[in-house]
Amino acid sequence: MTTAATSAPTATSLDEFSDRLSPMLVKELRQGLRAKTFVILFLTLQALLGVVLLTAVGATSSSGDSGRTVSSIIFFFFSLAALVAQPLRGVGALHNEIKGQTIDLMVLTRLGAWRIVLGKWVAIVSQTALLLITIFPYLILRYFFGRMDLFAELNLLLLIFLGSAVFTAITVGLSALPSIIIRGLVPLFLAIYLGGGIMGLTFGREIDDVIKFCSLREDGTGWALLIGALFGGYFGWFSLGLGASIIAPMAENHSTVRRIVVICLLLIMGLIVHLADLPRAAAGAFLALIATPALVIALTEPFQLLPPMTRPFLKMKMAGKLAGRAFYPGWPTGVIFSGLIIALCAAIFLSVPARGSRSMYSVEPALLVMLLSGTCMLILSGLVLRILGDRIKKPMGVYILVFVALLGIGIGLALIAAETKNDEYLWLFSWIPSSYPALIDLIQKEHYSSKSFTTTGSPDYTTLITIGVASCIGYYLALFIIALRKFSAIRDVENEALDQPQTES
Amino acid sequence: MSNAPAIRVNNLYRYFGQLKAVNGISFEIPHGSVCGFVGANGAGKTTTMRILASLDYPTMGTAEICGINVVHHPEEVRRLIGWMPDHFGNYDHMTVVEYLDFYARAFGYAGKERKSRVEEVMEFTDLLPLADRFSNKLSKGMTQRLCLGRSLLHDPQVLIMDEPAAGLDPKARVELKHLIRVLAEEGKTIFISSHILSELGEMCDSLLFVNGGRIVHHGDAESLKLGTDSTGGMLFDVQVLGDPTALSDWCVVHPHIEFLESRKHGGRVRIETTEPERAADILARMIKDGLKVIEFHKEQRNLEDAFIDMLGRIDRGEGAIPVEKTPEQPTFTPPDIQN
Repeated sequence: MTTAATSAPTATSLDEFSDRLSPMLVKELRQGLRAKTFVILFLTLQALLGVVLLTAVGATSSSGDSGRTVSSIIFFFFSLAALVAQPLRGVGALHNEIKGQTIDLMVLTRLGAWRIVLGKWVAIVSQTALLLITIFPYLILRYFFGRMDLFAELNLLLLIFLGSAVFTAITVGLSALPSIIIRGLVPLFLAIYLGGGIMGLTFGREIDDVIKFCSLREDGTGWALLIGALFGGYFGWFSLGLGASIIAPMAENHSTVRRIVVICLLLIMGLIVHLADLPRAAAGAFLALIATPALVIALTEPFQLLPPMTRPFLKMKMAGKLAGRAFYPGWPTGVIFSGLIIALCAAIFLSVPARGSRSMYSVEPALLVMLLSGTCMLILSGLVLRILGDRIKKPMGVYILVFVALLGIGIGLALIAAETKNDEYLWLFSWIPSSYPALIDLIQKEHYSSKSFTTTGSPDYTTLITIGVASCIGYYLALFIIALRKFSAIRDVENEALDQPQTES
Repeated sequence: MSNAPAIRVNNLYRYFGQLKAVNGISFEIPHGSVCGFVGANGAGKTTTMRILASLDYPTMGTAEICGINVVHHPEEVRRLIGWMPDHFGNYDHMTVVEYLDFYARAFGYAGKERKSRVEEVMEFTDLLPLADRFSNKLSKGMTQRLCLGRSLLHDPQVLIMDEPAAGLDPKARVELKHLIRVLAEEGKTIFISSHILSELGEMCDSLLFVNGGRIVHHGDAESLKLGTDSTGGMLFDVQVLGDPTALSDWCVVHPHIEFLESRKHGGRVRIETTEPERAADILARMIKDGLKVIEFHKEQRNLEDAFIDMLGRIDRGEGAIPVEKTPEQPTFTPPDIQN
């Protein structure tokens, strides 16, 4: 009886197919395919499709619309399974491992955090692929009803499958978060929203438009798909990366790559915006979609800097140290990084010429105010979080609560303003960025009032823009000063890394 | 690395906000020994063990496994250690053999090598008859054997076991104790925490007592059991013929001898020495001074008594058994890393 290993583990003697797969995928498939939720979902989908399809065939065979009905039924059930049920299975994926303390056992093996998260994701997506494959016999049946755009309908199924993969990545990634608000409620609302959307799309007239879009014969479809793929890939990758960074051992640095990728993506988006000649509003929305999650993570990331994380930076001497101030993990460097991406977004946004004007500085002011409001709210939420102190255990949850509270204040102010005649008092709340929509309303009301109606031109937002910019800078500087106090700790860790030899014997 | 002890901890601190979970502990454990880690709940045992397993980080101080710093080189440390936590969940829909197969894959084994390694471990932990049982349907004892098997898959040099005997029935405890002894005979270093001190005493070469995040004793179990107390004294049960108060009166006038409590024919006496010759001299003086001593018996305390006794003395501010000193090491400067 001995426990000594016969030989050191090597990955060379592969003698079965499963040896070529990730250990995590093998484990998850073993568990997932036996899970009641999947078995019930699989059998229910087949039973419902079979029964409902046959019933539909009987009921509509005399009409010429039966093909469309069959398509609607197939897309409805598959979308529900792929876009709602399957992604929701990811809600507990990492949380159950963390709660059961099995995540510790896994990170002590050769499995990295990314392999664990990817294994979880791929396993659910593989099961969705299994569901997709079982749909094909029904598509063959639908083909015999005629008037089928085979390419477009296959394309739609593929898009649903890819959408499912993205939503699954989001739920799997978020499942590592300790906050139930984000981990549970966000996917739930997403599922409810998607469920409603699927119902409306598949059983309304819009299904024909969707199929037409999927035929790729319409103008602009290519750009739409490219941007969709870019955002799908980005949100999926970002969520999975977030999950990996949470479960990873503390000496692993996942933040730096995330931050670099976000900057690269912003630059690529800048290029697409110019090449596709997108309007400024679309450019602003796309930039905000890329930057917002990165900014939220950067401002809420726990500050757990350890010497091994700093070593790759320190190899580059002074330049590395300087880069570390924006790219080391943790919220203090996150503040610098946030400043960088806000500046980059502003530069890209302002470089897009406004429609109907050749001047690159004639920005649609209301849009600019709204973007300023959003940016300012993101910074202010971070500032409030830091003022609340270091003892907060779930910083991202608190951050989102603060953000929602600010939104609530804005909505409240707008409601009060709608009920009162003299809204001048709203300017007193202009330091709260969520009050800007109500202030835009006030400016427009004043501009188009009988007194000034004869004046030409658009409303003057200069004061509001000035306040917005000043608030943004002010809140950011306050946050920056709080972050600066942590920089001595960063220096200590760097010195520690320099003192300690790379390898010890 | 070869000359370094299996485990070396130097001036280790771990704070969670205001809570000082580990408060400057230092110790060394040589290769091939079994060391028990003893302390009340919240004493800092699990935190120390998690730091050694590279699952947590110290606020200050160093922790090394076979000379490798756990903070600076966690990947290397993970190859050397087997970690058995106090509590862990099992997987649904996964049999015992699949569970071990997954971890064998995760440790990098493939093909026949993996199968033979899983079989070896199952044989060692006597899990072969349970191979096809779902891992979440096992009893506590079986689960602990499964967890031990998992932690042995990659043949670690150092095993860190946090409360492995907690919740086990007597039979399962005996089995676990046997497995640990066998592992120790194979030369593995085992660092084990437990509340069941009597069993630790039988299993361990040395014991580390921790209280309030500090080491209060580091030594072998025998020194505690034989009645050597925190100041190096010995405890004796002395019985005399005639009036038992004569013994207490005699103790009062003799320095370095303390009468602790009365018993039916005498009392419990503490003598401030660890030398048997000195104890013999005192017995001789008692007889010479007219005490009719019929029994002079050195007390064999159990570990629970010794531990409680020690904690009581610490609470009274009377100090504890001096801790073995470890050489000074350069310390890890604590970053202010809380959010």
